[in-house]
Amino acid sequence: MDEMIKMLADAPEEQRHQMLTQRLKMVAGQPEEQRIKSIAGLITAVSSLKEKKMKPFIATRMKVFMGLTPEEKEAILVGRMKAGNLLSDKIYKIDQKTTLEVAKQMGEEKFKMITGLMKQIAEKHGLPVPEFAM
Amino acid sequence: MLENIFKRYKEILFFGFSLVLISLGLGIWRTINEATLQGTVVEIVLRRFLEIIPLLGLGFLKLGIGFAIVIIVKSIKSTGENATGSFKKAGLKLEDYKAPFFAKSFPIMLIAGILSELVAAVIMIFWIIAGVNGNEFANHIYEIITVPIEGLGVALLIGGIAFGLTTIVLNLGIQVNELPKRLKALVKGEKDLEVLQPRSLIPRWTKIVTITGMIVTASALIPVAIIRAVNYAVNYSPTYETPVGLNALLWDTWIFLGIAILLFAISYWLLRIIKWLRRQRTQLGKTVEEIAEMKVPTIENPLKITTAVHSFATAGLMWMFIFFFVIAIYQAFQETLLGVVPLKMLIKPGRAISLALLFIGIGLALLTIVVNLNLTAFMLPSSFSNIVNAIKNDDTRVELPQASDKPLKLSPMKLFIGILIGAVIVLIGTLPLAILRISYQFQGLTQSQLTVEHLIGPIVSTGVGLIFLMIGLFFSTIVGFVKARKAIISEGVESCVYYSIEKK
Repeated sequence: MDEMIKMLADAPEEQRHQMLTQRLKMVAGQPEEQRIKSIAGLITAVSSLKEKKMKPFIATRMKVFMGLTPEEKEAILVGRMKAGNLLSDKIYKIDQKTTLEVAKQMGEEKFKMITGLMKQIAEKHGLPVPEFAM
Repeated sequence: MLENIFKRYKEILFFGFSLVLISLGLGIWRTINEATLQGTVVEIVLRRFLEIIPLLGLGFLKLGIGFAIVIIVKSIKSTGENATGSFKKAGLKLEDYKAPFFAKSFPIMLIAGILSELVAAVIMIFWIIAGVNGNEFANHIYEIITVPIEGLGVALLIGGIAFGLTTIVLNLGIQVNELPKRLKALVKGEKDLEVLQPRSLIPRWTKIVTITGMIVTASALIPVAIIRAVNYAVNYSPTYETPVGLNALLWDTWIFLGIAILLFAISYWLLRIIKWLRRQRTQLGKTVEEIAEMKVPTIENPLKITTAVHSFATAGLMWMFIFFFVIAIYQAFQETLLGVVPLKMLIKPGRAISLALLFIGIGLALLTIVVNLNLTAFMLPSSFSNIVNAIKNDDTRVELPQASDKPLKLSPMKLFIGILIGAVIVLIGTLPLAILRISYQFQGLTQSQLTVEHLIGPIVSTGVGLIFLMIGLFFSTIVGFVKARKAIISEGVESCVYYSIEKK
């Protein structure tokens, strides 16, 4: 997974967007156990990127996520929250912090939408609500 | 432990290239200070050092390429193993394929190759000591021994790379043919599948050409060593000429003929990989059409540069063959009119032109492979999404990417330009100097008056080194794609199997 993410991080934005869309759609369709593992792998690989590359990558991931169907968004978010158990605290926090920073840079409205969705999904599935403080 | 060494292929590549650059620097320094160095210990040491170290650097570069191929093979193999494991969970009766001899032995060939080169480098140390002490006998014996060991190392390293590519062809071929068949069987609930004969996936002639290239390369310098040893014993003279008129230069060109044959074979292995990668996309497209009952866009036409690979490979090999026979004829009629032609001076540029053509062909093939892998990476996730949805009885369909109208945009053109620059450096290192040498001969001057003469070796090594470095970086890019392919296929098949079991 690391190699794939590094490759995507180096790719032009358009190509990165297209490939990540395909990838996230595929992950969203996976059985839960596998989906959690895939998302954990994705987060670990992203956290190994240098900050300069990590932010644009997470920004693309966010844009791709916004374009998914509500079912796909839910599948990805549940997987992401549950993947926390498979990840070290440090890695999970890096991803969470950078994701929120990028969301904030995209505008207050988008930030509220994402954090609201996370909260809503967490409550629906009985999962702990993620911290949104940056 | 070996696993960790294989993974360090990039460091090995850069180490090899740094040895080549050090040699170039020393070569320039030696040329600039030629007058003051004449007859000194430094000159004795440098002369021997510069004969072996650039070759050792090139050896490490070949090793780096070989190890990158080992990583690619391992990744493709585990993709197949993961998918087979998942299909077996669904009850498909599948046989495991046994790895043929070349697939198991190519990493050993690579290691044996670099060890041979290292042995040659160790002998070089004794050679230097003998030179410094003025021990004539030991000096020539070491020189004679080093030559065939070097030849063996080169044969094992390039042969190892060629057989590594053969292993990729085999594994990729199995997956390209088996994956669609197994996915369809999974959906239809079939358990027994027709067994594929892996041997049919390996082009016999390319394999024969590879083995021939290895034998020619490995054996070429042995006659040189014997000729020189016999001559030394008979005449107590280390010159190249033999009492029977045979010339070691002919055999020296023979090793390049062997290398050219191996590079030609490598071009054809790469072309076969391109063929499998295209087939993978067409077969997968048909499988999606059949299982997900949707229209799949046809893939783009084969790239025109693929045809150029055939042309460059054939032209490069033919040139080397013709050149070899011209030298042989020249040797035979040296005393007659033909001997007037200063052909000896053209030997190095002649070889360089052939190698440049072959390397450009290989570069174009690698460009096409990366383009195909890129397009595969675009297509695989959406293909699996559709198959998974069909298995789940979900009507949602994800559109598959349209055929790219400018696929070359997806290629690492910078790496190919690096290969072109390397080829130009190789030519610059030989052609202008050859012209100078010829003009010197016509003016009645001796070659030793040409100070830049010593630079030919280091410049050519730098050009070839740059080409090898770029080829290594091409393979490094391929490693990334192959690992991504492994993740997507393994996860995709696992999802298909999961939902098909759940549906039952």
